[in-house]
Amino acid sequence: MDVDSRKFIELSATAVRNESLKTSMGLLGAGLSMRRAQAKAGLAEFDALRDEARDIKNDVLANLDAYLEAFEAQVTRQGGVVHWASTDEEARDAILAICRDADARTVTKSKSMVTEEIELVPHLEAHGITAVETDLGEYIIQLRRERPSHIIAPAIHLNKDEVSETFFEHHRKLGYNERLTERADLVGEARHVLRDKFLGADVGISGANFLIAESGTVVLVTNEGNAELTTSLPKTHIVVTGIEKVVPTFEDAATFIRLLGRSAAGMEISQYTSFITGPAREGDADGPRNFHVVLVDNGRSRMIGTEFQDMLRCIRCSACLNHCPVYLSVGGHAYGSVYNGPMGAVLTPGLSSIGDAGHLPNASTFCGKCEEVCPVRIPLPRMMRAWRNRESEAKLNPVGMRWGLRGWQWLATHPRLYRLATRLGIGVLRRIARGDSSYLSHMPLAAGNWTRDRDFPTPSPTSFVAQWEDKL
Amino acid sequence: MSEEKPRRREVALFATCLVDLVRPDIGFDVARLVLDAGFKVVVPPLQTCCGQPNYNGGDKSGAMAMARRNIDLLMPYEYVVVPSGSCGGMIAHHYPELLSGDTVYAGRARRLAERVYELSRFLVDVADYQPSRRLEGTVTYHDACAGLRELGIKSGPRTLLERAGAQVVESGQAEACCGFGGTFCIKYPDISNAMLERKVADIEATGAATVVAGELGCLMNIEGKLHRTGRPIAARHFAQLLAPEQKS
Amino acid sequence: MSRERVLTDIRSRLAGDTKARHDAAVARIGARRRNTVPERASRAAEARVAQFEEMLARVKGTTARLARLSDVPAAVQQYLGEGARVCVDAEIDALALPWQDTRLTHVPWAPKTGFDCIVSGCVAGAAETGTIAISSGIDAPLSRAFLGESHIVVLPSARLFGGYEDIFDLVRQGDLPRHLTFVSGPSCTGDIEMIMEYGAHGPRALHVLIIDS
Ligand code: SF4
Repeated sequence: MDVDSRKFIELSATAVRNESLKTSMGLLGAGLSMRRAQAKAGLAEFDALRDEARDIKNDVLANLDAYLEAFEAQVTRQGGVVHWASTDEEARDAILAICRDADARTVTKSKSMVTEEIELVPHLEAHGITAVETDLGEYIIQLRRERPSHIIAPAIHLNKDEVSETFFEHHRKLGYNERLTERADLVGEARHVLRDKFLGADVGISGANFLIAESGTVVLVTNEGNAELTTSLPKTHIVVTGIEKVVPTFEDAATFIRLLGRSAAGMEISQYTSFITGPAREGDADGPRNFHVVLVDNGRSRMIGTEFQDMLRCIRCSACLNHCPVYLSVGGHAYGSVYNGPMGAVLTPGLSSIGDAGHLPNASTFCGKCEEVCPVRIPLPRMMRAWRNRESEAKLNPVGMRWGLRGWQWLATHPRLYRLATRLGIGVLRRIARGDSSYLSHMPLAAGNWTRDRDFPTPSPTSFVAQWEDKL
Repeated sequence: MSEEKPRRREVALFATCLVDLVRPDIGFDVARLVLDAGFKVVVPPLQTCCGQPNYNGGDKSGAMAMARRNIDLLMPYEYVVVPSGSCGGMIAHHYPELLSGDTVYAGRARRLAERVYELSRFLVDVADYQPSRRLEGTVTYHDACAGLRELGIKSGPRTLLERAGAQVVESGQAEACCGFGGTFCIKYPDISNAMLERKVADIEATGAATVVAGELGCLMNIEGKLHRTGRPIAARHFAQLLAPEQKS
Repeated sequence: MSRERVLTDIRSRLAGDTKARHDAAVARIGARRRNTVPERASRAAEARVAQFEEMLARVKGTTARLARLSDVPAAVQQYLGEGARVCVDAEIDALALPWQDTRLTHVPWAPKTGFDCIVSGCVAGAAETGTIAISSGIDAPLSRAFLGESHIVVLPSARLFGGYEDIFDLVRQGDLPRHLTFVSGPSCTGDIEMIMEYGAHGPRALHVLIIDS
């Protein structure tokens, strides 16, 4: 997994000044949080469903090996094949081998974050296989050679004009010579271009929203219908997904389906929810002859039994991103990881390392909004805090921070020295303020980051505790 | 309840490091409020910081040391009142979690948690306080994150302000984070500033003359921005508005 | 082997023994326990049609109520206009409906053929979200529902259930179809500037004919 958060501060500084990104993020945040709130208000059982969803996933994780084996047995019984991949490399190799078996030259893909995580498309392309993303947002960013900036709205950072420019540049060679200005026309053009791809593909690759252990069924949720075409037309269908996606029964899947669309975008249910069980049956009019499921671990099992296990409940709904003030300030690309926002801040270091992803769990005020909206009640702030502990224990956070905190703790547990030291500190600040001004507009060292954008109220010369003592 | 009370019940005021060091006047406002509500106020003189910077900064063992010390300091009191949702949440929620494996302190942390009150919660739920102060005009309330989401502080401060006669106008994003986040605002100044700009614009849009909150960190952040950008809006802790006038 | 490695990695971190976990999972799956089913998914049959129509209208689907199956051809023509190119799927075709009374152009099914509309049957409906379930099968390509410009679905009111669970119970009675899809409105995308546009890859319009008898 390609992760690098080291440039987070620079990238976020540029991002907050990007006016078009600001507009996109404003639309995303305001639109989706309002829609989710309406959907939640409209379903009395919403919070009860969240509790149940949490409990179902906890049960699955506690018995994960057994549920995966049950799922595998059902897929096999239906005539499909399950492949297990311990690493991203194993997953890429397994998928490439299936594509080669199918003599694949072109592959259509529906949206899947796991395929982003394992960097599947570049791998297929490097081996001479053309892979076409069919989700509109994914298609747009594929043309632009960008990474998704949001787990369900991958091109949310772009505006209509940028999409128009991209289509004009790439579709000209296909005979589309017009620069389109209407959103509907852009959608229509992509529909035409991609229809041929669907009909001509040798292999269809999809992700999975849920895997149903009861029957070996793969559940896919989309609004566009691209997953249905991806998985019905080609002769081979490959499902690529994480080991944590399994749920016991159809009834359990129903609970998650009732939560997913509402949490993601305030939709009662997405337009299309597909339940796919094995390859085409004898005599079926369409459907793949070969059905493969690639179960990807890639660091997930390492999180079991740790303070990060709850993260494996995540259903990738994106509610935590859509409500996160940090994500909405910087967009997805600044994070340097395909998983971003609060869920990415916890998951990314789990799948890669805290060294590579250090900024992600640090860039949070712990406002708690993510946990408030998470449909499976993942305690995201608590786990970001746990990553900060790990980072500090491994001495990977800035040394000044570690010493500063240690010094503060030492003072706070030695009250007399604390009084002395804080009085000295306040004295320095008051000298900078020249005694009388009630606000400081400059402060030294790191505190200068405060006064760069705002003033600091000048502290009183004598602390509350000291004044109170004097009065007694 | 019919029994005579020979003396007022005692409340320990844990001022929090920010009030103590930056805005001592708020400490006195809190003390006057608690007194006016019929309680006796004690200020444990050895108090320092609740440990949040360490807890949130990856220094778990430092935070545990601070938690143990504060538990020792505050255990003797019947009530502990904290004029901050985040410090209140730290003591009430995070101390028991931090020390859950500590044979001596786990139980003490839980017992202390039952006696710790964020100021508005104490005034409304315990004291059923009727402010003697009269307020006029409109204010808007900023729901500081930890108070709101860890302690469920939402209606309490509004109730008190309204009981005192203030008109509370809601902003569109009262529950949005202001971008303070402790060391966050120093570590990620650009993001913090972007959040703060949205916050002050939201406050300004209400037309209220004063923004009120129960968290000094947020208030310093918001006030600093209001002042820097020349917006004529005051930022106040609700204790500052509600405390009875000082008798000289 | 990767399989053993993944399972070993998981097992090394789980509590309890493999057998106990296996038994727990088998029991849990076998129980097929219903979780919380929202009140709106459990309404009486009489209330369901109106609920279905309302929920589907919210997501830009349309409905019409017909007294009997033989009204279908006329309703299709009324919706599409005379001369529309329709592809009628095998299930509906087998009903020998009076298509001769209409002026619609019938187009045989093939993925690459263009047609204005596919007229299909369905497995069932769920009133809770205005959802219909369609499935793949012999003479019933799943992809048919996605290749027309619009999709007309014939839904007998007797097959309109309250919630998703009822549909699952129905399909589990036989062999599961390869592909079962819950359709709730026409194809759409919000990928450009968060504004919904219809007809992303699938049909631009969804029209459900509810048969009362
Ligand atoms: S962490 Fe929760 S809110 Fe965020 S994407 Fe996952 S399930 Fe959704």
